[in-house]
Amino acid sequence: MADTYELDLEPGADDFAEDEMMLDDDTTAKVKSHATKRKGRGFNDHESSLSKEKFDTVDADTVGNAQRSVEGWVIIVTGIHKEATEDVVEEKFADFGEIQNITLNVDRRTGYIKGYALVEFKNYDEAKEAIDECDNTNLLGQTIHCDFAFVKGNTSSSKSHESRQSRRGRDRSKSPRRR
Amino acid sequence: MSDEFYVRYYVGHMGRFGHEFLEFEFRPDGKLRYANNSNYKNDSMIRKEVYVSKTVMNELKRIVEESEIMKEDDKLWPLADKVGRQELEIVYGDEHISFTTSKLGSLIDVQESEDPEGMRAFYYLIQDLKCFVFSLISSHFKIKPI
Repeated sequence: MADTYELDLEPGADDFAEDEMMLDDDTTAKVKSHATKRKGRGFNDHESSLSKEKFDTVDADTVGNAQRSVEGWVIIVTGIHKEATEDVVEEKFADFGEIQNITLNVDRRTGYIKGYALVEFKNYDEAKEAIDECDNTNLLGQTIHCDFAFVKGNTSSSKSHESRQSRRGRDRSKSPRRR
Repeated sequence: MSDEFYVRYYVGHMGRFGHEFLEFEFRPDGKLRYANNSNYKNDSMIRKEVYVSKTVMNELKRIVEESEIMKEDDKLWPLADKVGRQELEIVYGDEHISFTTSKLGSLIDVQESEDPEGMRAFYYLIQDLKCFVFSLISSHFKIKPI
């Protein structure tokens, strides 16, 4: 049954132009239809609130593929040792700029660190340097991975719905083919 | 294969303040959508969306994988009732779960259920997921999501 979706496996970038909202839902629908093993009571009575209304976004402010947050640039760090502390994380990243915020969540079952942190920098350059310098490095004997947490995505915001065509055109001519 | 991943969670009830709920989803392309409707004290609906990076999606995958939730089944779990309803839908590769159950007050509800092991996996995963989403939403939008 899943074989019938074969032709959708490699959507080219230009396919996105038609209708992005449709594409959105299609991608999700496609992923769902690919699954062959289903389990649970929830398959018949689901009406999600997430498909219809307009959602707020932070205004598009991007550099490369990274999306700025309201107060700065947030990076995600994964692979953090379960006994790490906020001080350890802060020390690792303090050299790159002023850290505005660190979120280090615990595993609800074990009480240890879950393994990821969100670190917020004021400026893009600081965040970028932190990522470049710390990705695939060692922290407390484990290899950590660093990346921007938020990215541009296919659509940038529901607010800019009207200007989508023109903005899209501009994006295309301006952006280099590869980074 | 790596993109065959989707997560949605809903918790809510119909009460004297109408339909109050919290719902979020991560779509395969990284779009995170978050909705929270509480009418208590005239709070209005919060709806936020943002795209998260591959690294965020991979971390989400790891959290789901470690929970071993895909091995569980909701057939013995308490049914949704007047007090509330929870839904957890996950697509992971070729596996698709769509679980529904009642709200869980505490671990005691879990221990006393007919499937304590499965419900424990669910109980902790939900807390870890909520924690992950609230942190992402609040760090991006600078709001307190709940």
